[in-house]
Amino acid sequence: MILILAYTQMFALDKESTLKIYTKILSSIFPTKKQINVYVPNREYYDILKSSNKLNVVDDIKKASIAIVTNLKELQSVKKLNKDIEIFATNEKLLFQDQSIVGAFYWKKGRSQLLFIKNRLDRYHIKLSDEYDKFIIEL
Amino acid sequence: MKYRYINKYILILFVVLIAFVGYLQYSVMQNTAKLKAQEIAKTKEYATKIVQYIKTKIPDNLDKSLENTNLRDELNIILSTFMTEKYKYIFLLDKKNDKYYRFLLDGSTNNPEEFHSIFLPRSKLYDEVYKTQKIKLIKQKDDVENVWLSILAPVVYDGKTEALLVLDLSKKYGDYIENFNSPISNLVRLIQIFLLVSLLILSILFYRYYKFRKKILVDKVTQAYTKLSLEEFFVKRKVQNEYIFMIDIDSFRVVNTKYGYKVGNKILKEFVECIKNSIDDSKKMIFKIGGGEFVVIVPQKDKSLNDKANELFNRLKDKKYYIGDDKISLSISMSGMKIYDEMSLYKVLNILDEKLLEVKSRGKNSYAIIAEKDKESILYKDIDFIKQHLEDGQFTCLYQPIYDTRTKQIVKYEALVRMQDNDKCISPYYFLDVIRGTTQYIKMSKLVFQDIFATLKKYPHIHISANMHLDDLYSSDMMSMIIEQLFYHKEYAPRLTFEILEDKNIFDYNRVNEIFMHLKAYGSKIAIDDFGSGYANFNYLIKLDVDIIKIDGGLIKELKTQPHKSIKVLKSVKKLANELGCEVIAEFVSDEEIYNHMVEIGIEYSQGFYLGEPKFIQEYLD
Repeated sequence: MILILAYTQMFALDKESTLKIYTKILSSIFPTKKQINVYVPNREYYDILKSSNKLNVVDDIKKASIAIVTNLKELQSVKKLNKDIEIFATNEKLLFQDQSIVGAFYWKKGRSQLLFIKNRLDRYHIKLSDEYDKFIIEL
Repeated sequence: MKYRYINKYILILFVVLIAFVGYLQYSVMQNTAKLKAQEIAKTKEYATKIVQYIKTKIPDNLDKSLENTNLRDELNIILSTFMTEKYKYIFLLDKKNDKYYRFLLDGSTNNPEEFHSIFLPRSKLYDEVYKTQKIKLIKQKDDVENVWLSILAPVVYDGKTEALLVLDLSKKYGDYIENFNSPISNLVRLIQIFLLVSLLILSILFYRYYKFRKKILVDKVTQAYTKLSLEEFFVKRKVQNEYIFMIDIDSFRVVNTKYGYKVGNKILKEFVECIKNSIDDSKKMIFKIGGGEFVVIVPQKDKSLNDKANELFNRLKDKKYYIGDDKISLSISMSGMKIYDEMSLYKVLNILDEKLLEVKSRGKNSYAIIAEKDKESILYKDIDFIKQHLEDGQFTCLYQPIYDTRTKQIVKYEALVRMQDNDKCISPYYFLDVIRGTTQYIKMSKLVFQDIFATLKKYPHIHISANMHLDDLYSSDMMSMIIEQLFYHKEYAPRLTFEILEDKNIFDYNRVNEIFMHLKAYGSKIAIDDFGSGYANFNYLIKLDVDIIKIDGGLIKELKTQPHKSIKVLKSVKKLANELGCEVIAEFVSDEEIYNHMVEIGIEYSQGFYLGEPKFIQEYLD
């Protein structure tokens, strides 16, 4: 199962906060994994996430459990390399554009937004804890 | 401003300053809070107006109507016009289901949200406003960027909430409001820092002052208080009616010389300890005012002054001091009194000192107390009391007649100064020594001479004797005053005799003779008072140009005890004086027997209570 995380508004967070948020989100997606292999084509996020102890940023997409993309080009590239990889998007447009993206974290009117699409989570057998219920919608 | 109040004033000033700064800070906070409240109220009003506008544009079916792109675009443009610098975002949301909200309108011109795009609010207030239909305010925290606070206004149609208008006030504007009063806040902060630093400095100064005070107020050797402390005690004294004792270790210098200062200090320490132990009162105060001189202040309780003095004196007298193999006791002299209200330290110490001298002159190692009945005499020795009476002209002269011994007719009056206190005439015994050598003394002498010349003027046939001290002759101020008086009253001067009193030897007879010449130049006469006593000796008769000899009262008194010898002495004085061309006056003629002796010896003039007491001149002449 592949989850793609997409983001567009990095300015909203500093490095430490970004790392903290993404570690928490990815840990909730993979609650049993001690270490999560992440594929991040974006250079800026690559540098941020690689400093995590919990996340293991990999260069080989085949070894990754999840991929994080920030735009359409990255999404297409990821899907080309591994069409089955779990996709999660932080960019709202990407989230609704591609059926394989199960969630996203992004900023709207200065407020952070975390959104998961229920049927896509189900498709990938992702079971989030109860605290994420309010972020899960059905389309 | 009295020095003793300065500390209080400084403290009050600080309290006022702190209160003022506190008030300033409170005012600034209040003002900022008021500004915020006003801004919130305005924003709420603004939000309500926008809602009303939307409702005017879309009277019903909001969601459906907004599906019309043209209408939506038009309203988005209008919303954007509502966005002034204060506002970061203005947008309209509706609630899709219980889960999330959707954008209906967005006033942002930069990256506006798409119609029906999803919005997940963190705050539960969105749902609350939707439900209660009441406008609410959310104060945003750091998790919402660039927004200070948000106003949530419900858009209600027919009692049903159709949408929520969100009006975000920018963080920049929030900071502006928050910092609106910052110049005053900064000033207040600066004053606070200044006050804090000042308080710190004051605390340090106070601590140093306290240490310094302790050093100067407490005697290092004996741990008794110092004289400075005694002065302070009198200024700040709250307890009244204490007993005060002045204790002097007689010839303490001898102890120091014989045994050394180290032993002397040890004895002083033990001496103070003995005073402490002798008085069973925690409020007692012991002051060291000299090498071996102490002042003890004890509150009055059940014991009388005499009992207390007796107890203290005996304990101190009986105390033994061990110096090596030697055992010594100290001879002490002590005076004591009750401190009366409004008595200055100067006054108290003066009285005690005088009494102490009296004790010492009686042979030391004893004590004396100033009794209640002496209170008045204490008062008459008070310099302030005398000064006040001088200023009020409350001084007068009594006149004692001097008789021609043979004819028993009054030939002269001796002017005797008195201070008037209501109906009482106070003897110079009390006040003369207090003011001698001061300007008050000259002031008093001037009053005396004015009285004498007025009397001479009023009664043209009488003669008057005025007393002058030998020291007065040496005082240029005094002599200027006397010469001036003689000059202005020169027609009366020939009826005036100056009786010169003295208590020490004359060293410069030429100078004295010169002064006598000055006085005699106006026709006045010179008499030597107390002839035959200590200093008034035969030398005077040889070296001074005197007209009258006034025999010392002591010699006259001897007529009662040793009449034969006395008569011989008096006769020889009389003979000698007459041969030198001087007349003789005998004073202290207190009874008929003495008077008869004067007649027998042939003394020309007599004066005394037997012949006439000092009275106001009118009583003799009117």
